[in-house]
Amino acid sequence: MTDSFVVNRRAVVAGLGALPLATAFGRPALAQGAADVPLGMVLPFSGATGSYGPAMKQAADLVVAKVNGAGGILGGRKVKLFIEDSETSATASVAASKKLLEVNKVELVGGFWGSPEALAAKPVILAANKVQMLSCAANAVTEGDTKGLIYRLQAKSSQWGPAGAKVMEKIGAKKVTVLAQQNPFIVAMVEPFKAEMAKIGGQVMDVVMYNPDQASYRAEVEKAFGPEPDAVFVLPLLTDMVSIAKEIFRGGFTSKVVSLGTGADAEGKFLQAVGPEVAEGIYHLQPSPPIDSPSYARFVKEMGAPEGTVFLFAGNAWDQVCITVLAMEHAKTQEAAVWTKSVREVCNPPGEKVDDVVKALKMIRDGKKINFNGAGCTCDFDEKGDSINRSFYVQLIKGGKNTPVGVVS
Amino acid sequence: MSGPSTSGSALSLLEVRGVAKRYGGLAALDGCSLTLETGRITGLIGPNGAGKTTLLNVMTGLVRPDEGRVLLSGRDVTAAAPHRFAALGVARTFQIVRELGSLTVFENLLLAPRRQSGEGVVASLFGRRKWWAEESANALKAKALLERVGLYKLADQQSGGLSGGQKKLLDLARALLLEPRLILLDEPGAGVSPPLKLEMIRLVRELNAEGVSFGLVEHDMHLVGELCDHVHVMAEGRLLVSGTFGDVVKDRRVVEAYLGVAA
Amino acid sequence: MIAYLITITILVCVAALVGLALNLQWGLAGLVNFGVVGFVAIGAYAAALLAPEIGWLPAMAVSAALSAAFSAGLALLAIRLEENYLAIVTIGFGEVVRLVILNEPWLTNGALGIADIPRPFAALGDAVGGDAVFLVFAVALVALAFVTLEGMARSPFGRALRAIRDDATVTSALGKNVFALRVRAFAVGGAVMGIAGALHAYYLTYIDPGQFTPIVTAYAFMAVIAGGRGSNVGLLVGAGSIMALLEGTRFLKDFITVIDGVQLSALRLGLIGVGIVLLLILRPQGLAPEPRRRTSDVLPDRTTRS
Repeated sequence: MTDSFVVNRRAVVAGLGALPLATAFGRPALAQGAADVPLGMVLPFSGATGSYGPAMKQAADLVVAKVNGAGGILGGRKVKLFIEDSETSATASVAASKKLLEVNKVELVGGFWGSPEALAAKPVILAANKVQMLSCAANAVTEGDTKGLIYRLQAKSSQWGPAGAKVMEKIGAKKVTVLAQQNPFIVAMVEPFKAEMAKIGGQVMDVVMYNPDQASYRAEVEKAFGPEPDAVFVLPLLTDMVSIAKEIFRGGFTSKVVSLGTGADAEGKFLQAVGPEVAEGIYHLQPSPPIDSPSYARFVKEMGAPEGTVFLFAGNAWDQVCITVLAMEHAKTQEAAVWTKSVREVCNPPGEKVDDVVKALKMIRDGKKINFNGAGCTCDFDEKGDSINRSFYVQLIKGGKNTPVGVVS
Repeated sequence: MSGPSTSGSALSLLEVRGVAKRYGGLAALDGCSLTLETGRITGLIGPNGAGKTTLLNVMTGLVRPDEGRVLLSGRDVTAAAPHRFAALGVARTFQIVRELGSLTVFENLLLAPRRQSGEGVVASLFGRRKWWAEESANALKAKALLERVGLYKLADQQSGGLSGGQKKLLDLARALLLEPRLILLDEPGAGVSPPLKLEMIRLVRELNAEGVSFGLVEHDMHLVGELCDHVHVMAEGRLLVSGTFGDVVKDRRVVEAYLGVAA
Repeated sequence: MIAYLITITILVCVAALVGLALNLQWGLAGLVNFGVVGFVAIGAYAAALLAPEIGWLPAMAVSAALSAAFSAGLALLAIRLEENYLAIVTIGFGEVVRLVILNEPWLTNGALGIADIPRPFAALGDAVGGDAVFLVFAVALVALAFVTLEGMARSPFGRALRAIRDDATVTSALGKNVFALRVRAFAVGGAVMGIAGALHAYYLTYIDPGQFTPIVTAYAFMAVIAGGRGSNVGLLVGAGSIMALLEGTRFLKDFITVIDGVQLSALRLGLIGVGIVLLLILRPQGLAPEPRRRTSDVLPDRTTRS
C-alpha cells in the first residue's frame, strides 16, 4: 500500500473518532442555547423492537413543539429534546444514556420501550441523580431503591396477567393454554395470569414458551392448540405474532385467541402484515389510554392517525414529556432531584383535571392545583413510581377492523 | 500378505510389509512390500497411479493403511501419529511445494528443531531465558544450513515470495534441521531448473556421505540414475521389481508398466 | 463529556479482550471460532452468579476456567475434523449457550436477566466518583492480557501456531503435535473471553440474554481483521476504531438536523458497514503485521534491515 492510501484510511477513522472529542470543544452546533432546558429519550429505532420507536418520537416531538410554541417553560425557556437509538440493546442503551447525561446534560432520560434497556440504564441514571421515565413492564425496574426518580408510564407485567384472565372470563373460556415469548416483559405475566385464572375457576392446561427470532413457530403453535383449549393466551411481539397468526390460520385451529396489543395491533401494523382473513377473531388487550376523552381524540388527530386508533406507546412518550415540563414549572427549576417531588403533585388527584399541557402550564403558573391526565393513561403514580388505576382496553378484530369489546381492570 | 522380508537385517531402516490402502473402490496400494536400507539412496519409481505418494504417506504416518505394517528399524510404527516420525528420525519433503507462507525463511527453519521448550503454553511466558537460549543455538544452525543451500540472504523475507526452486531448497533445509536419519524426498526435481537440480544432486550426495539415508520418489530418470544405489519399481499399488538402476530400466516388465501395456 | 468517554473506553476494553482472544485462536492459530459470544456469555453469567457469593476475583477466575474448559472440550470434539467443521460446531455452541441462558430461569433467571451484580473496588469507586476506578481496572486487565498474549505470540509457541495455520500437514511432518497445540490455543483464548464476559457483567451490573447475540462475534472478527490477523497492537487500534465508528456516528444526528432522527439511526448502522468496507479496501492486510522473529533478533552479526 502506498502512503497516500494509509493517510486516507487514517483520516477517515480519525475524523470519525474525533467527532466525540470535537463536541467537547465545538459547542455551537449541537449545544442548546444557554437558556434551553435539555431532555433526553432512549428509544428503539433499530433491532428487534425498532418498529415501536418512530411513533414515540413523533409524539414527544409534538409535545415539545406545542410547549415551545406557547412560550416555553421556566420564564420563556425552550425545551430541547435529544433522542438516542437504543438499538434494542442493553449495552447500547447504557452508552446512549451516558451520552445524554454527560454530553447533552439532560435532566430526564425517558423513553425505554424494552425492559433490558431500562434495567441496564437504571443504575447509570440514578447515579447521576436524574429522572428516568419508562414505558416498559418488567417489575424489576421499580423495585429496590428508586430514590424517587423513576416513573413508569406503563402497566406492570404483574397487572397484564390478571387482565388477561379477566378477558378469558368475559369470553367464557375456562380451559386455556398459554403461548408466550421468552422476553422479560412477557415472562413476568404468566404466573399472575395463572393465579387469576385459578381464582375465577378456570384452568391453565399448558404453558408453551418459545424463543424470539425462530424461523417457524409451528411446533409451538401445535403444542398450545393441540389439546383444543377454549382459548389460548398468546403473548408475543409484533414479528412473531405475524408468524404465529399465520400458523394458527393454516392449522385451522378453532380455539379462541386472546393476545396483546403489542403483537396483535402495534398501531395497525399487525393487520397490515397479515390481512383481515388471518386476523379475524383475535382478541387483544392493552393498557387503555383514556379513549373517550376529547384530549385523546385531539392527540390522535395531531399524530395524523385515523380516528379511533389506539396508541399504546406513543401516548406514553407524550405523557413523559408533559409530566416533566409540568413538574419543572411547578418546582420552578430544571433540576431533576427537585422537580421529581412535584410529579405526583401535578399528576395525582385531588386537583382540577386537565389534559392539555399548555393549559396545564398556565394553571400551574396561576397557582392552581392540577390533576394531569395524559394521552396514554391518567398518569397517577404511587410512591414507587408505578402507574395506578391501570385499566385495560379489549378489542376484537372483526372484518378487518379493531372493534371495541370493553374495558377490564 | 507378507512378502519377502529382509527384517532382522541390521541394514533395514524403513520397511513396509503387505501394505494395502483402498479409497472407495480403488486400491492405491495393493499388498506392497519393500525396504529402504540404511546408508543408501533408494529410488521409488513407477508410472503415474502406481501408488508412490500414497506409500510415502503411509511411511510417514499421514495415511493409515487398511492392511499391513510399517517398521522403522524393526519397530512397528504403523499406527504412529504423523508428528511422531520427526522424533523417530524420519523427515520428508513434499511434492507440491508447501512452504509456510506467512513465516519468513528464517522462521521456517527456526520452527524445525525438535524439543523446543518454548512451545509449551506456560513455558512460553515463564521459561523465557531457557527457550531464548535454545533459539540462539537453533539460529546458528539455521544460519549454517541457509548458507549451505544459498538462501541466507533471503532469511528475513516471507517464504511465500520465494521461487519454486527456492521453496524446494527451503523444504530440504527444514527437513535437515530435524537431524534425521532418513529423508524421504517426494519428487524434488519437479518444476526445478537444471542448475538447481545439479545443486540438489550435490547436496544429497554430501549428506549421504555424512550418513543420512534417503528415499527418493522421482519421475526424472536422470536424477534417479545419478543418485540412487538401489531402485524399487512400483506398479498398480505393489512392488514390481527391485535392483540397481541399470538393471531395472532394462527389465521388460518395467518398460511395459511405463508404457501401459494392457495385462 | 469525560464521563462519557470513560464509558466508551471501558466498552472498548471489553471488546479488546474478546478481540485479543480471537486473535490468538483465529489470527495466529487459524481456528475459526464463530461461537465467540457463547464463551463470553459463560464468563459473564459465571461472574454474575458467583460474585455475590465468593467475591469478584474468585468469580472472575471461575469465569476464565469455565470458558477455558468449554473451549478445550469443544476443541477436543471438533478439531480432529476438517477445518470447516469447527466453524459449524462453534456456531452451534454459541446458539446453544444463548438458548440455555434464555430458557433455564432456575439457573440464569432467563429473559429477565441478573441485576445488581457487585462491582470490583466498589467502595473505592464510590469514594473517587464516576467510573474512573473501574476504568483503571479495565485498562489494567487489557494490559495484562496484551502482555501475556503478545508474549505467547512472540514465542516458539506462537510460531508453531502460525505454522499450523499455514499448513497443518507440513507442521506435523516437522514433528509438532498439531492437535495438542490447537487445543491449547483454543483454551487460552477461551479463558480470556471468559474474563471479558466477567468484565462486561461487572461494568453493566445487569446482564440479560439479549446482550449475547451473534453481533458480538461479528464485532470481534471485525476488530481482528481490521487490525491485521495476528497483530495484537493492530487489534487494539482496530477495536478502538470500530468503537469510534460506532459511537462517533451517534453524534452525527446532533450536527445534522436536516435528516430525520429515525432515518439517521438507520443511516448510522449503514455508515458503520461502509466504514468497515472502506477499511478493508484501503488496507486489506490490516493495520499492523503479526510479530516475526528477525535474524537480527537472534544473530548478533546481523544488522537490522529497514
